[in-house]
Amino acid sequence: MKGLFFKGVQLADRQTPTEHIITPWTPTRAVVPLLPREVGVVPVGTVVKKGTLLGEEGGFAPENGMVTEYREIAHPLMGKVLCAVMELCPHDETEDPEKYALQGAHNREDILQAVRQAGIINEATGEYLWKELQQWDESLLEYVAVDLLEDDPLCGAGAALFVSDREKVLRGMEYLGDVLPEISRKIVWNSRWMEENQEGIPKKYGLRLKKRYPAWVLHQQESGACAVRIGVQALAALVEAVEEGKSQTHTIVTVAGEMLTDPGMYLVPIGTPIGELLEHCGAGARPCQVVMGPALTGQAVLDQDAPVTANTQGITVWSPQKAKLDDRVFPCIGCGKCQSACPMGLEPWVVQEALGLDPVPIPMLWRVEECSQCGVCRAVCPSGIDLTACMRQAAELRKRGGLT
Amino acid sequence: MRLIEGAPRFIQASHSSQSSMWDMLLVLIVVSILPVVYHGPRAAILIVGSMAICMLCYIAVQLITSRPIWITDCSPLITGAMIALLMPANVPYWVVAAADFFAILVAKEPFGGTGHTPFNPAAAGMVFASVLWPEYVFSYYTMNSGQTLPLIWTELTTSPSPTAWMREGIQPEIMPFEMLWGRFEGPMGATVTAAIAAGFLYLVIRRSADWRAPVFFVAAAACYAALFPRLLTGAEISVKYELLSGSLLFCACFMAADPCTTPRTSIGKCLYGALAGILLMLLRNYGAYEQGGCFAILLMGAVSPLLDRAVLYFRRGGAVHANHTRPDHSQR
Repeated sequence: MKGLFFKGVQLADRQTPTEHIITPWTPTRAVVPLLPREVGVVPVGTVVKKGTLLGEEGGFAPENGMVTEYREIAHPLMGKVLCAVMELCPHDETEDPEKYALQGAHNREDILQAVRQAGIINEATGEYLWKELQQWDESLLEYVAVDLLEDDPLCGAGAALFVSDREKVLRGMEYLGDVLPEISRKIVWNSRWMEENQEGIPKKYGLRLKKRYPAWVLHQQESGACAVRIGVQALAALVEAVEEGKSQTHTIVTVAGEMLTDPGMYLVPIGTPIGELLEHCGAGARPCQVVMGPALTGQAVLDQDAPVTANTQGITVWSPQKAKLDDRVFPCIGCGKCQSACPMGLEPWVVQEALGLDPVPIPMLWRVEECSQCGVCRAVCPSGIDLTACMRQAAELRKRGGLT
Repeated sequence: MRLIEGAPRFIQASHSSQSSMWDMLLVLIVVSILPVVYHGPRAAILIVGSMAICMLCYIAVQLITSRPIWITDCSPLITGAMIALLMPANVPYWVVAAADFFAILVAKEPFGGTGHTPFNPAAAGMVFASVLWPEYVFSYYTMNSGQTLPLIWTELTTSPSPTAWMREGIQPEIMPFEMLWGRFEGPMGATVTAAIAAGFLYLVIRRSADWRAPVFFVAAAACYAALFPRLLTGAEISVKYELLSGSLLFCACFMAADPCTTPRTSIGKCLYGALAGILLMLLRNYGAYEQGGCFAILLMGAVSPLLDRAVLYFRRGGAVHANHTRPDHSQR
């Protein structure tokens, strides 16, 4: 039955940018989020070196520069967060001392410590990697998959990073094996481009998934495997943390959209203000609508100073005129496309109907807490109803026990 | 650069509710080309007039209830075209107009308009007209006798349609080619088999219509015709005439594909189609009228929410176990 009805949605092939070239770029300012504990430890006016810890537990200076102020910023992916604003002077090439570099043999505890001190975020999940590594070790996982998936046409820097530096990723796999000795490792990919560039992936690691979005969730549902994902950027940061003692200060974002003259994949410091990045990409002076995050699940950006974070992955820029046209929402016509596309086999149309009733009949909110928020239902809905938001709302309602 | 607020426009599937309705309208217009060629200007007046009446009714209701008018919402046009195409070409104009009024003013708008109709408005309008004026709705003028259809309604020589022949257990004599192109007595839009099939194929390829309900509709009707033939000449001939004469194919391809009145679940759609097909054949065999398509669609409209509930009930019953056997490690 599962094979008969296709789940998920077939998104277009990579639209923009077409080339898998990673361009490094440094802004003049950085707005570094001080997560997980929002306390700044460096006084305003201090000149800091690259890699200096600005917050109590996280937030590293991406380049040499001066801390000018602390500001609270409404971030689309992280909510309200305290940030350190820095003026960067990247031409000053003084090297940061290799504080945590491990020498010789690496044991599990050392690697975990290095990952923790580097503040690495797993971009595939948006969680801290050291926490996840500990959790994974305790759970009965079948494998850990390195995410080279390109089902999202507007993200997918992972595959490009892998192809540009295979050795580093494979070394990362070895370290991963040191941390999680019981769990096997895989490299998952699904694009034609990766098909042509897959040399270097050992047979035992390779795992090809289907092209439909969301490939990872669909694969898990079909195979029933108990597995987790780690992003390539997080893995590369792990290698740098272990071998060179570097913190995670840079990330690769795919900047795309019809409003840009210069779309592409950019290697930028974490904390790059989105406004400056888009200006560099040629957004011009026209008003535009910016979405941060993966194409189907991203959030609208309203603050030009909202920083790029390790889990940003993609930034898309739409023209507002085009957005207006499709804004009108039709009633649910009952086509059932959301249900047949949902990778988890949920019933978004029932939930949408239930939320319109008062009081909300809780039995109609069946399994809503399992929703992976992949955004497929919203993408396939011909009436343009935000079903993903309905599912999120229903899950919250269910958690609270049904009281609105 | 200025960032502006607004509903984020994410990647959206190319087909929308609107585009699928326009596709349906396009298909209906293409289907009405052959009837206009066969029956002359009267057919064109019927179709265009019916569409206009439905649209005017819709606009009037929106004005009275002071709701916004969406000119791009072409569902009244679809209803109008369907009603006209299911009528014989020699039907009086006022019968079509009455069916249109009933469809929009009784079956559609009181329930909340597009997207909320529990019953297919076109089917409701047709049933209304069939019950009140069967002598007009089921009388077809003899097509190949050389008589031309005047614009003003006059008494014409009529012949029974193949479906009426079959009610008497007599095998109709129609050449296969004429059957395919609809040159025989019957509802003017429902006999053009080739155009209907091509239109349905177009809708499915464009993903504007779901294939499940129509395919199961036709399959179930064919099975019934093969198992309990009305003709003594055998199952094969019975299936051919049952499927290709009358409004069966039209109702299956266009009315059973309407997302509003069919179940939302895939299995529900299949069940709906199969039950509607069998119901149609039962109505043809034992009902009072020779055409059962609209009656079957209308009756199944009442059942389709129940089918959905039943499918969901069984899914949930089965899924409770699957939920607990495997720890959930999906991310995000």
